[in-house]
Amino acid sequence: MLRAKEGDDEAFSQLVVAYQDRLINIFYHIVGTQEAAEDLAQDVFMRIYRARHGYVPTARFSTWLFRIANNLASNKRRDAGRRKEVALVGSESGPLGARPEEQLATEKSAFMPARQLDKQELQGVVQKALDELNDRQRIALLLHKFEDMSYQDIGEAMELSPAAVKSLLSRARESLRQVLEPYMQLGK
Amino acid sequence: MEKALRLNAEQREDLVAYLDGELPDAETQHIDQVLARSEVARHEVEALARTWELLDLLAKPNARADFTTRTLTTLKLSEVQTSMTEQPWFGYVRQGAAAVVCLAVLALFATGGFLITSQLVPNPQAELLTYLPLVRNLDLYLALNDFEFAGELRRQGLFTTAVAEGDQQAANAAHVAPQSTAGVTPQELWQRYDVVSRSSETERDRIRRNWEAWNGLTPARQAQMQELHRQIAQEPAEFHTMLETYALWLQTLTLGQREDLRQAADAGARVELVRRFKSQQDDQNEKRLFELRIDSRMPKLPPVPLTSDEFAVVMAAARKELAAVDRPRIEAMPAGTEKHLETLRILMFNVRERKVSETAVDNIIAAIPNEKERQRIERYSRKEDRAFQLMQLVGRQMFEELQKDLPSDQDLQEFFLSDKLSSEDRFALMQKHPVELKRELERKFLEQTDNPRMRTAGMVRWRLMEVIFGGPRFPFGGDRGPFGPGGRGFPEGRGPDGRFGPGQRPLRPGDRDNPAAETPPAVEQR
Repeated sequence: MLRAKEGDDEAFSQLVVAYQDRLINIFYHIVGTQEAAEDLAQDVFMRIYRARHGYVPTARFSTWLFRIANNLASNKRRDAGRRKEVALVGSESGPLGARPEEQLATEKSAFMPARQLDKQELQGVVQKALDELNDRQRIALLLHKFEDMSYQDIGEAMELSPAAVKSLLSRARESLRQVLEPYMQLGK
Repeated sequence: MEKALRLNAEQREDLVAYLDGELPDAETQHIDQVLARSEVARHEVEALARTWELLDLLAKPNARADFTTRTLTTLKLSEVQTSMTEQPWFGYVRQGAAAVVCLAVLALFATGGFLITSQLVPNPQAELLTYLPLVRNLDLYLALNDFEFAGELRRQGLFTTAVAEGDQQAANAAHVAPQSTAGVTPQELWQRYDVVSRSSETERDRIRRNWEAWNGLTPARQAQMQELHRQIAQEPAEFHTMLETYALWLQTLTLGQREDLRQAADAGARVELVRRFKSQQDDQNEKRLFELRIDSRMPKLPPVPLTSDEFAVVMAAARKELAAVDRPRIEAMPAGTEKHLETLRILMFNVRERKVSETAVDNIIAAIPNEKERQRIERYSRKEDRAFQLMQLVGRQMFEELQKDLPSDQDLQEFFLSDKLSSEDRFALMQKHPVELKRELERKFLEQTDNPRMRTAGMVRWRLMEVIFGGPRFPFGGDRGPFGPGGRGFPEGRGPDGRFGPGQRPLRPGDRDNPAAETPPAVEQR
């Protein structure tokens, strides 16, 4: 990043390559689609690129990058929430949305532990369980799981204290446990 | 083993941190102990760990192949496109520009409003400032009435002051001719406004009155004044100085005098009035100045103790003490100051020469009708002292008697202002000390008067001085005589203590070295 700060575009492209998959992976589990995740990742790189001349290496670069990612994700959710508030016609949810009965049946059956699930279905169950978490729990969990970030780093990225991160992760893990415990044997 | 041991909320939090390796050593050991004792706890830890592992099933999408290229291209493009508009400082520039535009619009409206109101709505202040050079002098112009009179004042030289050439050049250089009232620029209006705002309240009042007077003039009269203003503006600096002097002089006139001037038939008649008023003022001024000098600086003498009759009694007693050879001659003289003078002359000589007897002195003293004065002199034990006090009394009385016949201050004042003295004489007299001024004026007065009584009094006083001091001047060379008014400084020959220095005693009548000394007849010795 220090080279990029001095105007080295090649160094910046190396940064993009190094972090693009990690960012997209995180964003994917937040926004749910590849395109939206890539757009958000692009926004992160855009912000970093514009701010590169004023960059001061006070913390790890990755912490700074994921703090930007966290802010963007929060903005995205807030914007989406506003749009949802003014939307009169639902698409996939809400009382006005048409929901095929088959889709409802699949969703219901997926939560029946006695039923034998294949790996893809189990992946869907885990994703659903992840989606059940609130946004902050989910981001903290993803950073810890996929980026292997310590409580301290997560706290810096999310602007929380380590104790708050500990509490956040504890509740997230407990929620997941409660949802996923019946499927544990399948995941082995 | 406590199989059914349940975990509290805090311990549950710690279990997750325990699994993540984020727990401090002490808590880690505590959890280890709990796990060793509790199967439920171990089960929970196991469940949490397996749940955590399930997350590995989550999809891990990677960036599509063109993501890097797309991203880098987008970054480059955005930098080019937004190099100006999306720079952090551009926001400030845009806000500043908006503020400038707002201010410019505001100023435009203000200017437009000002122009519209200044053009469409009559502004009396602007009109006044336009005519200010004329209005400031309108009272003078109305007094002058026409240029012919101003020119006549210059020809007559009534208000022209003599100025050194260098000073005149400097005055010319510093002079600002009356400004034009036509084609005034806004900048000139502002300058005039500034001049008025900085002038005194009195001056502003005058301008205000003149402006009201201007608005009260007929258009023809206004045109006449403008023409006069134009003509005067073309004249040199000394002409304006003269008019300013004239304007100041006008302020010293009474309302009636100014009205007389205003109603004079033509320029010639007005000049004559000016000359007459000025002459009256000059006389009054000189009189005032003369009174001021005489009254304020002449020393005041205490009144003499004897009346004229009482003095006559004393002098009659003195004559009785004269030697038989002189007495018939003096007694034969007509009563009056000359008779007193002759008596005094002989008496004084004999006192000085110590030829008068103590009895004679005491007889004269005993004849003093004023008891208080008589007792004052009698208190002196030595004959010489009593004789000296007697001579001093008689001398002062003699001067006082003469003063009654001499011209009074009023006579001298009238003489001073009369045409019998030239202005040069007056000027020269006014430079003198008041004592000298009065004496010199008195001498000139007596020279020209045809009053025999006054002339005699003057002559007798002259001789009295000779009798007392041995000459026409006071004996010590200074202005101060023993009976006359005091003067400045120490008498000649005396030090600051008033005593005579060695060999400095002035000559007296009868002194051996005094060529003017006259030896009067001796007083009869008894």
